[in-house]
Amino acid sequence: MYDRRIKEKTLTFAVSGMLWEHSLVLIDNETESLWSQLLGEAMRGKLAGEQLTVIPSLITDWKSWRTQHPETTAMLISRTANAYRRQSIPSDEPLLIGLTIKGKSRAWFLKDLQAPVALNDQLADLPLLVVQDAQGTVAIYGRSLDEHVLKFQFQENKLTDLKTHSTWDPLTGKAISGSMKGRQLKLLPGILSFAHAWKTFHPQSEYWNR
Amino acid sequence: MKRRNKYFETLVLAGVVLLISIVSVFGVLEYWEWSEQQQQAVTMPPSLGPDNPPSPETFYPGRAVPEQPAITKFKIGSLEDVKGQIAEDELVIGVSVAGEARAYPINMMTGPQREVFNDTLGGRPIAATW
Repeated sequence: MYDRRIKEKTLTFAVSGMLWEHSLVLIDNETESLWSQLLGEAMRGKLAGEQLTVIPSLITDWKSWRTQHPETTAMLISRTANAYRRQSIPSDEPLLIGLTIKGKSRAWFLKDLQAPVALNDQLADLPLLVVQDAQGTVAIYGRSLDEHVLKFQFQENKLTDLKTHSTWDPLTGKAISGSMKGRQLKLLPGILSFAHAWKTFHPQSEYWNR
Repeated sequence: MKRRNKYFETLVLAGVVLLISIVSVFGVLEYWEWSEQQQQAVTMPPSLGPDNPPSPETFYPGRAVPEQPAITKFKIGSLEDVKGQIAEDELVIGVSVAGEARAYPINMMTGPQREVFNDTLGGRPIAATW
């Protein structure tokens, strides 16, 4: 999920039809520059070297999303696949969630996460929470809130911060009970990726628990 | 006698010239093909890795399918509109920008015709990509 603006231009993206190490290469109509979809960076053309801003998003099941966002709209076009469902993402190889901050990359293999789980981790001095809810939705949030750096744990199946014992919704990062009620953690731009693709494009990446 | 010799000589000469031409053309083609192979061997890009990180300098894309047209218009429905049309367990990419939320079902985003959508959400122009 990227913001389409670079400098003063708003770009229109298309599938270029080319692949770079099996990874999608996009082309923009305005300058015909070629972009790595995984990196969000232009690799050739007038805009080579420019970096798109990532907009954080969540991969989750429709029921969870519409329950948390009752005002949501949805894209509704014909299906090209049927297999992407809560129980499984079709994949011959391991999946991970990865994050890049200030040029530093870190990734968490999905099979290392035992849902529900809250990992208090950090990357490039940014304290972060990697959380997987009971349904298997994974999200990465910043753990800092004003002057607090919170630590989280699942207690009685509820995501709880150890400082105030407020409970939090893993799907929105919002506190739903306790003294922190209504406060919002910042969703970070974690990327769900096949392990091989992530390793190819982030050769210096660290991996949790490995 | 002399005239027949001359005719014969011309014929032999023509034959030799023809032979040389054929061999030359053949030789040139062979060289051309060999030269192409040498070129390809030299321009085979090294794989990405820790010593060869991704950058514009290591960008070697290969064509897989023709270029696809950009998608700028597609149907978007409210919760009421999509009732029953998206299964509860279908995976979506969910985004919320400036309070405006939208779900993009992944089952609608696979394949070269679908891998990027140009949209606007919460006033921001976004590219939804899978």
